Amino acid sequence: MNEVASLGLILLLALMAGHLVKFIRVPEVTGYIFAGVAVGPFGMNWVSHENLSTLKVFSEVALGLILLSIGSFFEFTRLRRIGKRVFLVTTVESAMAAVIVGTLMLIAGQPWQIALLLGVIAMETAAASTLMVMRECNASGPLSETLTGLIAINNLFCLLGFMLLASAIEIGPMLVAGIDAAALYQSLYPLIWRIAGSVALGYLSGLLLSAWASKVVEHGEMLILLTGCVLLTVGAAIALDASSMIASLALGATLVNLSARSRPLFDALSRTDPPLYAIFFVIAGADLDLSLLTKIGLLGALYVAGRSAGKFLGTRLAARRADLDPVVRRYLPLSVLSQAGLAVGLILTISRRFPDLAPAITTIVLSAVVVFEIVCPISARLAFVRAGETEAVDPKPVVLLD
Amino acid sequence: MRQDRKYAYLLAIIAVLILVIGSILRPRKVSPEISISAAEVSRLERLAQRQNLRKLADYFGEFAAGPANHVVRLRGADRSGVAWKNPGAIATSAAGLPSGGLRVVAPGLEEYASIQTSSPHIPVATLQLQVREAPPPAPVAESPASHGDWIVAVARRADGELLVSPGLHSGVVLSPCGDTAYEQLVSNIPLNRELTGAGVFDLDGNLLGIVTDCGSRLAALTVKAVGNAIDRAQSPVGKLLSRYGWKLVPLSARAAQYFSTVAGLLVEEVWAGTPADRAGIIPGDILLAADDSPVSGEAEAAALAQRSDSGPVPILITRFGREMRLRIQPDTAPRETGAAGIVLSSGLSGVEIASVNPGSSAYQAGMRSGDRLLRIGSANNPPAAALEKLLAGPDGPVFAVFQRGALRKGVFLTR
Repeated sequence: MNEVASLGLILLLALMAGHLVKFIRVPEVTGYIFAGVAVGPFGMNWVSHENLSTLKVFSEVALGLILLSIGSFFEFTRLRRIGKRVFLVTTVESAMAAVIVGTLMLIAGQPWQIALLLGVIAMETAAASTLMVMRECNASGPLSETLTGLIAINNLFCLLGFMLLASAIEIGPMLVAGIDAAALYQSLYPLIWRIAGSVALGYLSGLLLSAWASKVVEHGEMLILLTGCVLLTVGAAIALDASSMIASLALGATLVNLSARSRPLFDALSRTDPPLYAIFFVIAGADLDLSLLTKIGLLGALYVAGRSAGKFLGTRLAARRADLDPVVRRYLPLSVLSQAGLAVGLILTISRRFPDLAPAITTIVLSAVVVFEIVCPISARLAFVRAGETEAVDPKPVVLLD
Repeated sequence: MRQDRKYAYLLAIIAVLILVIGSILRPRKVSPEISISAAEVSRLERLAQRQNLRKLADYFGEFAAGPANHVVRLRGADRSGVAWKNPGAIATSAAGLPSGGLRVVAPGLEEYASIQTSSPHIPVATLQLQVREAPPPAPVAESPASHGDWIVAVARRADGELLVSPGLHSGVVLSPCGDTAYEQLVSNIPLNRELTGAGVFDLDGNLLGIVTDCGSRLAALTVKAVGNAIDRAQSPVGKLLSRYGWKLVPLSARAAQYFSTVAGLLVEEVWAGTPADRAGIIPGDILLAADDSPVSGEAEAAALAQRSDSGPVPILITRFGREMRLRIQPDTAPRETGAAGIVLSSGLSGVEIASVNPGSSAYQAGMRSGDRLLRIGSANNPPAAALEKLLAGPDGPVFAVFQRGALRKGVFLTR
């Protein structure tokens, strides 16, 4: 099947699956993912690996738009209001997930590099699927706001933690064998560049977008401007070997702080982007190999259990400590468990930088992603429903603006 | 921040600076950690080249297994031969080939082969094996090799091993070999005596030519040229040359006027050591009659070439007006003689042993091809026909004397 037909099939199946899962009160995201599994190379193979690699560009755009939305959390007024508390909760839940998973892996006899890398990957909470559930439920309220901030900071933590650890793993042997300046530079440069370069890139794109946004009124034009800026940012980040994720977050943060017209822009986006997100999740599902569930093994089970425990307990403890709203304290732990996008991206990086460590980590994380992507949108939906933050009205933008 | 544009622009300048400086400082491709000296680079290159050459040699070694099925060793003639078009036929270089026959040796084959086509003026000869398991004829390329193609000369050495000599094909030229120009393969294969009679093959295993002795040099005659040469040897003129050592041509008007005769055939060539030479015939003689029948054209000449009687032929010639009656003894094809297991041939210096059957009493007694047989029993220097009769005589031992270089040796042969 060619790419265009694959795309059509993906959209229609996503719609169908979304309708079907509504009957069993499961989030549409889960339906999209199952549709992807069914038509993907590991299912009926209607959409082949070649099709998927061609359609990856849609995933890049969709992820860029999602992170743009999340970046809106970093509005200064909001940061001043709840920033500290969200930062505390995120720090504790991420650290506990990392510590518990890392310790369990060391106890299970894994080398320290694998244990620490798995610990860092365990920190991540999937932005896309969580945000999609939130959007589907039209969730708004303290839980949604806290969760958005948590995801934004959490993904940054995970990325920074991974970059630090990867550099440490590379530099470690050098400390024993003697420091080679060139190799040290080679390994430290990405660490600094991916943060500073990505933020600079996102800021410049955001500045451009904010300046232009004041001159654009019509809905279609706004959409063109926003999509163009996101694509440019993601593309430039790929070309400059920077982080498209941090750049997109920085773009969102800049836009929300510099432009008075950020709300109409996000509104325009939210009315147009559902097909893109549907494609994103079906492709994500098509990439899932359900047969990995049979190979999850003891290490995979430890990873799933350790991460879930760390995230759940860490969120619960820190939320109490930060004196968050009781509803948030109760339901936030249920909504932070999903894992996908960034974790898979980090696996790809690991297979490039540490090919000898990659096989073990890839099997564990990919099998865990299968579990988390199927179960966690359901738990997140449950959390929003129980927290009373769902509305039965027309979809609203995910972005949380005052 | 919204109010303060100044900070926004300042941050923009910082962002641009970060991107510019970051791009400049971006580490380039990792250079080799250890600097390698030019001598080391050169040594590594040589090692790599040697490795490539080894692989090339291995390739040609493996490749030769195919053509090897068609290449034989001709024991006693110090050369190779190639299975030719007809079943059992072997083509090889003619120069220095002992008259009579040879033993053909290849893996699983060691048999006597008689010379089928050989003529003093033709650079190639064919032998005929009388066995069913003769080597299959080599396939011939439908289109000639192109300039720059790899070609391989494959010979079989005395120990039975293959000699493989690859080279690049440079084309085909028409160049003299003996008295005639033949198509020859041009390549950078170093042709040495070990390659005499070798087959030249393309990389698909098709036969392109045969390495042939052209007097002062070796040349690889194309398959087409070899075929033409064999056809020439099989023509009446060729057969007369082969059997008698003379070349007879019809009298041209100018020759008829000069020699004042219209009848007969002009002797144009006489080859040294041949029956014609021994009979005292010289170029310029005119053959008038043979076997008491007048000879006036090619039909009679052809009949003379195919004469079945191996006895001497009475001939009448005219030499500058003077008629002379002579007798010419044609060469006979050698045959294996009785239980002694040797093949005799009449050479210029007497009766030579063309080949010795391994396992025969002559072989066990130490006789080898190339030895000259001097005496059988009490008969001293008998002609070949008489020797054959003596060797095929009544059962029992017979004392024979042969010569090899400066050595004369007497041995008992079992008949």
